Amino acid sequence: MFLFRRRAVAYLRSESARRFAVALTLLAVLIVAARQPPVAIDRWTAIATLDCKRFVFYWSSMLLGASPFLVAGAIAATVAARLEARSVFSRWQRLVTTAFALLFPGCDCSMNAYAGALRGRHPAIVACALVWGSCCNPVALVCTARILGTHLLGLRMIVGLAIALLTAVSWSFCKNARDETICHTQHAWWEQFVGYTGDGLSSFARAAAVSCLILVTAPRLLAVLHGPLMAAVAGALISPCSSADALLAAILFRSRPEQLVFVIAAQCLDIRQLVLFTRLYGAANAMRASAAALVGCTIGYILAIA
Amino acid sequence: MPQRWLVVRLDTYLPSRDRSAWCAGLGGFILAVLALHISSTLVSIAPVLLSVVAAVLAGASLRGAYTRTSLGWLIVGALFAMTLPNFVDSLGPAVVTHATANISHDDLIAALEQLDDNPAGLVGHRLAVRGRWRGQTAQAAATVSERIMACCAADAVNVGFDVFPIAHVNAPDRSYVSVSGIVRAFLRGGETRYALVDARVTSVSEGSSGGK
Repeated sequence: MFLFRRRAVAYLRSESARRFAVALTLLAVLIVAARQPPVAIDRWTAIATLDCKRFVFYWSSMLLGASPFLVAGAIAATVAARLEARSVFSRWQRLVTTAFALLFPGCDCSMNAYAGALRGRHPAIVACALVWGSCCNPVALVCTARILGTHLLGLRMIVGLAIALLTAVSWSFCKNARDETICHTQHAWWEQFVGYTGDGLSSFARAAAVSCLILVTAPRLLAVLHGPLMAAVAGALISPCSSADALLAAILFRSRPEQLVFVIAAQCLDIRQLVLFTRLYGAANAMRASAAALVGCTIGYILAIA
Repeated sequence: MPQRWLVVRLDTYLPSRDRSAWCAGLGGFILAVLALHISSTLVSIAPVLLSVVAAVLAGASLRGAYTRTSLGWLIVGALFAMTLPNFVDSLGPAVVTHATANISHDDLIAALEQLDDNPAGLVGHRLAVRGRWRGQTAQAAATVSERIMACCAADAVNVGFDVFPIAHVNAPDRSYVSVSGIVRAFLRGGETRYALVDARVTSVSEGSSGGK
């Protein structure tokens, strides 16, 4: 006679079983903690408290810093959606809204709210718009030129274009490029605005939380910033705004190729971008975009050292 | 559909109530941050712009169909802001002892720029700079630095010098000081760092300029 006739995880489908598993886990943690000497617990508590404090501070600062750009992106998305619903631009409406994403003079944070306005487009066009708008928006280009110089500015544009095209190609040939339509058009304009803002804010907040968690729990990583691989990892984890990545690159790295890799990874390989892609187009396409970004970082490093 | 053992769900479609809650919560948070005058420690954005953003978020979320829910989350956001600490030291290397161009005309930054361009011109010479003081800890030497924040506190970096004072310093951490010492270069962890040795540290008021 078999005691368990189903696979183990099947028993966790019921709500009571899940609660029992959580309670059991908590009890085990308490038992392990109780066996530790008080000095170790005090030291761990002090460290954990400081880490929590730092996490909350950084997460709050990221939300606060991104709020104007999220609101601006949501306003632009609302306007675009309303115009599209009324067919103001008729044949050119989609081209206009897509071009707006390419030239949107805000931070990459605004893409979290504006990306919903690109519904219904071909995945390749959306990929180009989102990647280029995040990596090579006017603010990012101006900051790069001012801080890192025109040579790295040119390389940033070349690599950004390469990543956008690679992402577009990879999404075009894959059948499961999800085109999620966020249906706000039937509501009043302020409800549409709240819809775009709420979606973008929830996406950004989760990505920022992951980024802050990594920053707080792996501080030693930032103390060993050498080499292109570390530059890419630092850029992906720190995930600064496109207006701040040039400054951080100049301060944290002395080598020009590493600075380029950092700024590219900070916009094309960062957690925020991945969460945005996953939310709207699925994990598979997000992974393809990440692969394209890695290829782009490699190309950029080779071009910079040449 | 095949069974999935691990599903990471990123909700594409939030309920309208949740969207309003997010907007109202952020609006209340920004209003409280402005009221507590701690926005400058969190971001480098002008308070006027933040107040406009808060008004837009609060107004739009309260105008919808979930007014009561939005009001509740607006209060929650404000209460959350009240739990924030006044200041948290920047993450990463304690102090970075090299600068970047076109950032600031501060004397400390200018000195670091000169060191980056021509170290021999300053190393071995006496230098006076002004910045924020942080006393010696078990992990790092005392430092005088300026905080450079391009966007938000999570991106902020401290830039300055290590300091080895000639006598005990009573200045509290994060107070504004003037440090005069001899510039020395040394290696730590494979990186060249610059320090002010035999330094004299005096507390000053903010906003005054320094020199060599």
